[in-house]
Amino acid sequence: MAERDFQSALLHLYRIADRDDPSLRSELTRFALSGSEQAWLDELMASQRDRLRFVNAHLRTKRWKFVRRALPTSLDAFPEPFEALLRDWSRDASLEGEIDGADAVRAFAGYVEAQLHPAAPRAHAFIRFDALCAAVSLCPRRRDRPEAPTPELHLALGEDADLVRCEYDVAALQVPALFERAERLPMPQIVLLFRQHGGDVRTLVISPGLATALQRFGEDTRLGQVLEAAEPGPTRDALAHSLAQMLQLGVPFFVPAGPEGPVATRVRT
Amino acid sequence: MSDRFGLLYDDTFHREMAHAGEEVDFLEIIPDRYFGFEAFDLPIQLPVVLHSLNLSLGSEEVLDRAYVAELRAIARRLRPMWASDHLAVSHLGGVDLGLLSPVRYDTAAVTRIADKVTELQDQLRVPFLIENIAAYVRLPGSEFSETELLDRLVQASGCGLLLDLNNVVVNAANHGFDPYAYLSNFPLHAVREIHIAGHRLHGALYVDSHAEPVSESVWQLLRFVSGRIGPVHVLLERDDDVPPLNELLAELAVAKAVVRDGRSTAAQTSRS
Repeated sequence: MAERDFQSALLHLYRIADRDDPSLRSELTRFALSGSEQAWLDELMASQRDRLRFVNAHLRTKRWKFVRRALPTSLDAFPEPFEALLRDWSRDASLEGEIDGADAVRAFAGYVEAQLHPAAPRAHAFIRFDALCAAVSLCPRRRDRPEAPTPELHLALGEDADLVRCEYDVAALQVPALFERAERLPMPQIVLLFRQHGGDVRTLVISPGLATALQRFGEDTRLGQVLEAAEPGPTRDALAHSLAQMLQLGVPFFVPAGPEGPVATRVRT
Repeated sequence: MSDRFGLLYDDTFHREMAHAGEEVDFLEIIPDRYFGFEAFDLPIQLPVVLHSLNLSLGSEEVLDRAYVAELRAIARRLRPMWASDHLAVSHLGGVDLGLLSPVRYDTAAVTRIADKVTELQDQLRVPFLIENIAAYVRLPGSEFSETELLDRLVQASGCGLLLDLNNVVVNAANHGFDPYAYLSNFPLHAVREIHIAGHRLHGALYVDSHAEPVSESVWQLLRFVSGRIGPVHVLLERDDDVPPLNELLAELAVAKAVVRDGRSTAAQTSRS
């Protein structure tokens, strides 16, 4: 266990090596390090600080390259706003909390979303949607997709599925030539993105009611609980029907490992 | 068996590759790039080796079952001569670092890495090689050297080794050791594959970039090693700013000449 804590502390150190010393040392107190392991990390920070900073910068560069490569449509259609957003995000955003490449792309999408103020270039809406689709596409595929709905099924929103509010028509958000001519919608659409076999992303425009129900999956909830939360009668029946149809369409519902086990398959630092 | 010379397969020269059969003896595939693909066809019938990036052999946790399953699926499809990964930690507690972090060289590392390699050889049903990495920090607390750790791993697991000469150049420059002394201690008898690649300078730091042509210092080490090793597979590892295929083939031709020269010089020395 001690070795695992040491390795975790070292990996964490790479990710925060651009911070100042007091902050670094306090961050490392969260790991159960022995006296000698603490001394080794102190020695590393004292004698190889420039190397740790290099690794941190290297990770940022890799992340920048990864996101750039993952969004060829945005790069091709809107090179200037895309490069500017990517540059600012890469410089400012922390590496903490990212698990893998898909997570980096999702973090970029979150950054772009935060820039979607009324005066922002309209291309930002396209880039944000493109990034969300890429993040969903890049998530590892699940091998245990069921054929019929059962109460224990879960949907991993923010991984291989996502709910997105779109101010432009979803078709226009996927084709730059259409987007150039698209008008902002009077009411936002709610779109479910999900990963299909092979990595392609499919989009479904869904009703606000269904979106509210699906959002419950984001709270560590199973399909049975989502149905129970719906009003009994026609509303619940309609929801059950919709969920069964979504399963048939390939929405990646899955059975979490172990009946009472944790739903989350990925751990955030 | 004679020496073999190969390229890291890149999608950008997928079509051209079909005409490069006589100059390329084998291809190295990074399986991670094709995880989740239902089908993956190579443009040419050549022997293949797999070089994965994220088994995280050095980490203090068991192998990632899903990752190994993907690797096994690709191994079944491509029937590689062997598979390889790095002497490193790259994934821990569900988090991908996105970088290869060194391990401490101690007896505990020998045990945990050898156990994983043994399991991988059982699961993949092909030999497994471990590669020396470019490490930008040197971890305190090791009990012995990297070459001794590799030697112990060979003995404990029966694995082979993948010797990356660019990583030797980069580490020697960054950590101030003699690369020839390092190679003299390296368990060369277990080396089945050699990587050659380029590096760049970041300030005073040497960086294993895979984006530049092979450096003169790497050619010199290849010549040195060729005189001390049996038939081997030499792989040109270029996966960033990848030039046209004809440029890669020209570098591969240099590698063939360097290996020939190294072997010839060693033969002359032993005769005299």
